[in-house]
Amino acid sequence: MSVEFVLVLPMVAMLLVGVLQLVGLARDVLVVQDLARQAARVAATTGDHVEVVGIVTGRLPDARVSVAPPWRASGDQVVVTVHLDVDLAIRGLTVTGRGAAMVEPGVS
Amino acid sequence: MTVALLCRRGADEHGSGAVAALRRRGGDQHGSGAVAALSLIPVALMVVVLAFEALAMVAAAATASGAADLAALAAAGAMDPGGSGGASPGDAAARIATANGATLVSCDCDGLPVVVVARAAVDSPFGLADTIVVSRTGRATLVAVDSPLED
Repeated sequence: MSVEFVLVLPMVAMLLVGVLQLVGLARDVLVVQDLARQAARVAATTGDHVEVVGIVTGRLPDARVSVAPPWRASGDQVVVTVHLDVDLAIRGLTVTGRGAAMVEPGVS
Repeated sequence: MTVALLCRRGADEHGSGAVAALRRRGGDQHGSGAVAALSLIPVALMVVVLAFEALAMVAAAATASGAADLAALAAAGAMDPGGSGGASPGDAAARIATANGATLVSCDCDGLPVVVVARAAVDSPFGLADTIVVSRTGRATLVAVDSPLED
């Protein structure tokens, strides 16, 4: 094994770990974004707060969910925000997803 | 006899020449690993930059897609006389598209199904894809159900 190979090996390993972590982060970003929109869609069709939060926590138990406004009526704009803490090798990140929808007729 | 000796001699010279050439080549490659190692650094940086840019483009596509879907649903809901909150279908679609981080491009809100096109700019971390705008189409219609809220 040459000296150059020994020098390059940690760099290649770090690059591989970094790319894998980036792929994981991309997956988390897309999942959080998608769940926020799904939850917003559910929030537009029901006044049940627990059901809205359950859409997110069913897949991401550690996620924090906020629904605004908590009481909504037909024609209102409801916004669901999802926060997920992600631990990377270097530091921790908080991934945020946001979904907004218009509350449908008949919801109170 | 003479021919055989000549052949053996030729083979020996050929063999020794090849070994010498290999030795010379090996000697010339001393330090090439260091050059390869140094050239790997910009390649690795480029891979990381491109990965971040690709991630930003995928996120923009997801934003535009989700915004188009929800804006189309909002526009279809606004066509229901029971509950638009007073907003026209186009206004409702624009409001929801903006709230989802996108911009409304067009809304075919004259009838059902509603067809909405929303676009989202790529939030490029390194500025390579700043000019790229991703557009997605969303469709929605109204379905008559007795009680959509009581399952």
